[in-house]
Amino acid sequence: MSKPLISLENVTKIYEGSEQMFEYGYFTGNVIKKLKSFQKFDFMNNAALLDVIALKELTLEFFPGEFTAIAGPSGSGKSTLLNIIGALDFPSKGKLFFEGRELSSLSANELADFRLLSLGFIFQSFNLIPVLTALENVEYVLTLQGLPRKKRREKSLQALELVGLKHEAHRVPSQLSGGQQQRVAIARAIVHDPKVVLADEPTANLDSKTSESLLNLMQDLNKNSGMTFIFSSHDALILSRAKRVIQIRDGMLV
Amino acid sequence: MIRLAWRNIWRNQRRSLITILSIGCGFSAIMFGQSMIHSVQIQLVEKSTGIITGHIRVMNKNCKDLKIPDEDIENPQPIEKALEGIPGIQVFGQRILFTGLISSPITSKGVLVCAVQPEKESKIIKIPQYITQGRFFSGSGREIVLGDKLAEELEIRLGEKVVLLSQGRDGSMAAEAFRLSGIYHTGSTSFDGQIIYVPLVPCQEMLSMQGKVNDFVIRVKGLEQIERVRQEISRVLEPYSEVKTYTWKDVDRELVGIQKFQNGILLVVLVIIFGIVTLGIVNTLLMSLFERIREFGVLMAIGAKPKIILRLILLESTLLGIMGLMFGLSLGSLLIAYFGRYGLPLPIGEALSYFIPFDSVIYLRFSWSRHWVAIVGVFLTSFISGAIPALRASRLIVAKALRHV
Ligand SMILES: Nc1ncnc2c1ncn2[C@@H]1O[C@H](COP(=O)(O)OP(=O)(O)OP(=O)(O)O)[C@@H](O)[C@H]1O
Ligand SMILES: [Mg+2]
Repeated sequence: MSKPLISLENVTKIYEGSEQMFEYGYFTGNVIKKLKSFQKFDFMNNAALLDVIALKELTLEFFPGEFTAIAGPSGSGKSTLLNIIGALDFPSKGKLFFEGRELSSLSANELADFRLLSLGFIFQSFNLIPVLTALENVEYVLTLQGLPRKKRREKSLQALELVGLKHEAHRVPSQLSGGQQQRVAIARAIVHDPKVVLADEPTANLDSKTSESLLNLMQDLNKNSGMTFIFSSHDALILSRAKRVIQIRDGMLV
Repeated sequence: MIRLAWRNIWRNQRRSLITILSIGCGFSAIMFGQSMIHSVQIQLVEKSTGIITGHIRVMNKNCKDLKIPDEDIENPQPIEKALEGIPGIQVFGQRILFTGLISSPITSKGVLVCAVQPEKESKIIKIPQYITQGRFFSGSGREIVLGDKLAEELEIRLGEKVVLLSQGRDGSMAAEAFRLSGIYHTGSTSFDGQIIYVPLVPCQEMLSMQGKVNDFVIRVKGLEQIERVRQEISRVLEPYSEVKTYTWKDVDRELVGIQKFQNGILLVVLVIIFGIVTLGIVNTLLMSLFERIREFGVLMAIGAKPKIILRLILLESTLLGIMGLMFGLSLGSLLIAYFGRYGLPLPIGEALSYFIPFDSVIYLRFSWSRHWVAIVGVFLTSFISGAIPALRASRLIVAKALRHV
């Protein structure tokens, strides 16, 4: 058996109750954190401020070429898990390895480079850059990588062709349908040949027919170029297409 | 990068236009305020130095009252010679300043008499420009020029005679008749009712101070050269220990006080304007950027380094700042140019003119040394208010930025 591409060791993610207070600003958040550290202020431990354990001692491995779904009810920790795998968030405890390298030791810039080179993201709400055309959106990743202009164009058009949107290349996201936008997002996620594509509920905002065709697209990409896909969903139809399904509930494997 | 920033700016046209407008209007308000301070002061100084004070004065160093020198310059000839050689001086003249009583057939009034060399004096002070009737001396001996208010009180007309009474240096009573050759109007009640001009020579005879004066008045080319020229004059006149050199600031203490007072008030106004402007800029920029934190999260998720986000945001706010400044600069310049040409009437002007020689119409001028400060200030403001959300966004954990609504 080949070496794991990604492995998680006892990964725990705790959202501190006071973290939520940071939404009200750093100052308030810090004050509450301070207050909480004095045990006397029990009253601070009300519901809004309770810590949430989103992932509990999770140990998992992913291998190259996988087409894996993460399933579970709402609030079970799917997004949290994908965020941690994608180095968008940090585990509270435990370790994350990518090709044997531990990621927690990397700086913000190194992590950005890591994401830029090795990962592709597809979001539930598409998250294209609204002011750029489909082509420019796809191209942006390569611009960040510093590829020469001609090469960028070529690869981006190729990626758009792959998702069947070559003719819409010069439209901006608002001129595209949801399904088309998500196809652009897929093109953006794969244009730089990442090792893993992470997709958090990629079809949740789409009707079942569009979802189906998107999934076909992802499946083809997985088959033809061996790209690893890890996506989350709670749609049974989607889950049935996955080669491997990881069920989680309350932050634990089931 | 620039393309992305540029398009981001025009994505929400209304918001960007509001930002640009608020920066622009704010800046032009500051510019206007600065120009006003500057213009009011220059006009004030030019007007009051232009009536009697002059830019620089040379008087007996023992004078207790610089407004009416009580000690004479016994030997003006060598000083005259020395002054002639100083390049910074535009023109200068000899004078005797004294108090006297002026009488017409109707009534008498105490006045400040300024005995001048008509030829030179007409180039030193601005009274010739304020003449409404007759001339500032026609050159025929014993003539007098006075303000319209005084002429009215004395009920005399051009060509009529008045008698000037004063005390000679030998203690005798001195009197002389003068013919009215010109009437001036400065708009300042105290000037128009109290100051009269007569030729120097007849006064020297009248006061039995032949060949002596008590004052040299000097005009330089621009207000900003006054201090430099004063130092030069002091240096040249060092051998004549009898005299001392003063600027209008030494002579007209009230004016300096008024200037300080005005400065204070206008500075407060300016600070308030600046504060409002700053808040406006910070507010619009912060709002529009915090709305987009999620978008910055996306950029970081696909691999943009924090410093790229930082640069993008700073670029955007800098571009907005520059456009706002360009707009503000043109608006401000237009306003200043317009009011510089046609004048800005001040509602309080008339009231003020009872106390000080103050025009009720202000002609605005540019004050670039101040405007530059404002340009830099406004620019930094937009830069910094871009930097705050930029730093915050680039420091957020990406997952958090993505959750940001
Ligand atoms: N930033 C956060 N701060 C605090 N709690 C959080 C945060 N993000 C998620 N949680 C909590 O962690 C738990 C797991 O959330 P997560 O978003 O991973 O679930 P999910 O499986 O993706 O759910 P859904 O299907 O609704 O997207 C939930 O209880 C959620 O309320
Ligand atoms: Mg989720």
